[in-house]
Amino acid sequence: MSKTHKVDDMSPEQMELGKKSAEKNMSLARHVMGKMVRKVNVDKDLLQHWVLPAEDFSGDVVAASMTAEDRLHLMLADGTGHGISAALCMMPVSEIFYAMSGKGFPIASIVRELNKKMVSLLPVDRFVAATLASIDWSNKTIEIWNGGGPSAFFLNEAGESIQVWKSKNLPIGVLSDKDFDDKVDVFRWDQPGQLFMYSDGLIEARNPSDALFGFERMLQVLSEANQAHRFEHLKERLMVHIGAKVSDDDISLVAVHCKTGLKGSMEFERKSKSNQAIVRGPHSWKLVLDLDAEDIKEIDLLPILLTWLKQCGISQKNSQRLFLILTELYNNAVDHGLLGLDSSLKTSSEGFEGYLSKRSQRLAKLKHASVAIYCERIRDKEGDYIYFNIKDSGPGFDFAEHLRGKVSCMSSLSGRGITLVNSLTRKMLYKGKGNEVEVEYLLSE
Amino acid sequence: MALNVEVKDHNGRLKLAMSGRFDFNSNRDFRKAYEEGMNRYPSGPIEIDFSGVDYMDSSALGMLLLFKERASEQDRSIALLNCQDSVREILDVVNFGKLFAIQ
Repeated sequence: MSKTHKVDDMSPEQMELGKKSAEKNMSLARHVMGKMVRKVNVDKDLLQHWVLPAEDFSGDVVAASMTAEDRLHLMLADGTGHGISAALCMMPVSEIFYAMSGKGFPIASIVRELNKKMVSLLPVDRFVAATLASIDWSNKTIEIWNGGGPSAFFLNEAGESIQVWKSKNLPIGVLSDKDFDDKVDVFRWDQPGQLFMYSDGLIEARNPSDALFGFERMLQVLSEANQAHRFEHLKERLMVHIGAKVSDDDISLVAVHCKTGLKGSMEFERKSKSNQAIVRGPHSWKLVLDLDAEDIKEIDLLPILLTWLKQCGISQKNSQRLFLILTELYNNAVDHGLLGLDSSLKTSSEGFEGYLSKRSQRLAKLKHASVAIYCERIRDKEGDYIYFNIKDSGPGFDFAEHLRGKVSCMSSLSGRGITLVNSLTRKMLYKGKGNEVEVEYLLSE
Repeated sequence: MALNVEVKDHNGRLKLAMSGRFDFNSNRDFRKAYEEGMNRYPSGPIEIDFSGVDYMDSSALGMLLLFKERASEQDRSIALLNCQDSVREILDVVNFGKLFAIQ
């Protein structure tokens, strides 16, 4: 801003110029924010959503993202105020939500990061009321974190509210990271229904004679229509209520259909077949890495994996053991599986030095090879564990013979790696022709 | 009705007695009142009497956060007294009970 004029001192030409400049700025803001707001790209049969801004720009944000595990991450956030300043404050909120959902972080980690970021960005008197949900159709569970948002609820097919999630937390952007509570509530539905989330603008919408729409009226209206038409019915009745009156606050509404469709039941069968009651915990994630010959030469894989584990909140003690397990298995896959190096070389006259120089020679020549790493955090009756599967494109080895001799291996110089991994894990299994190994490492306190 | 704030004495402590609508337009009056009150009563816990407040919006919540920060600099606590149901409801949704003693 170059100069400020008192309106009284302005000539009509100056006023016109000022108006034009303001319009230009607004149109630029509209363009940028239009690009920033992502289209919610989730099947309409699963999710319905609606935002009615009070002004040009909405301070309400509805964001939804399907995770790699086929969960729906959903966020309804309402920044203090409305219009352009509120919309501006909300930009980092949706960016963080999408980025972290895409990387597979659970909503507890997302909300903690959002809080940390917003505390540092917003002035003390600004905050963001938000409700985050994670919907898992295969396990029929909903995880919810509500900080300062109106109560979310679950309606059964008859339109009765069978679960209500009140705000249990302060809004985002108030508490320090140390005081912030990211605990989520978990609900399992035993009958089909819909999860509803909305901003306070909806229940506080007033009609021309100033009567509030209200929570009770909202529940009443929802129970009037059958499940398929409930969402549209509420929208229509709300618009009738508001009438010609311009809404004072942004209004937003989302509904998630919670049923056990085909996909859900298939997923369930697959799991029960494995004969393990696997419950995906709040920290469930998976990581798949496919490395080709060039990757194997260039990428220093282990620090990447270690960083990943750290970011997923794995304790240092567990990380150290996992690091050891990964190092052994990965090196086995590369050295023996792909490069055909014999461990007994290490004890030969050439010794370790010779082994390493042979290794780098053969690695440089490596072509058409691959290592696939699959890593997942799973929960079962015994607790949370990390499952690894590492498969190389090499010819494999006679693992049966190797394991038979494992007792003596500990004292010899070669083969200690596998024995060590075996002792650290709950389960270790060589598969195929010996080019594939899977282990389960139970996370300890 | 615009917000009216009176600086009062409660056994030698600062008490702000408020009435009217506590909203966006109250910013200046509220801040002026608590600054004046804090000068007059430079230490001890602070009380805000909400009995005359019938409406409160999110910018009022923001003002309370600013006031709390200001009071924390002097290690002083703030208690919110006699809230009407409509005000209490808003304070509960945002869980301000974790930041202020609500009585």
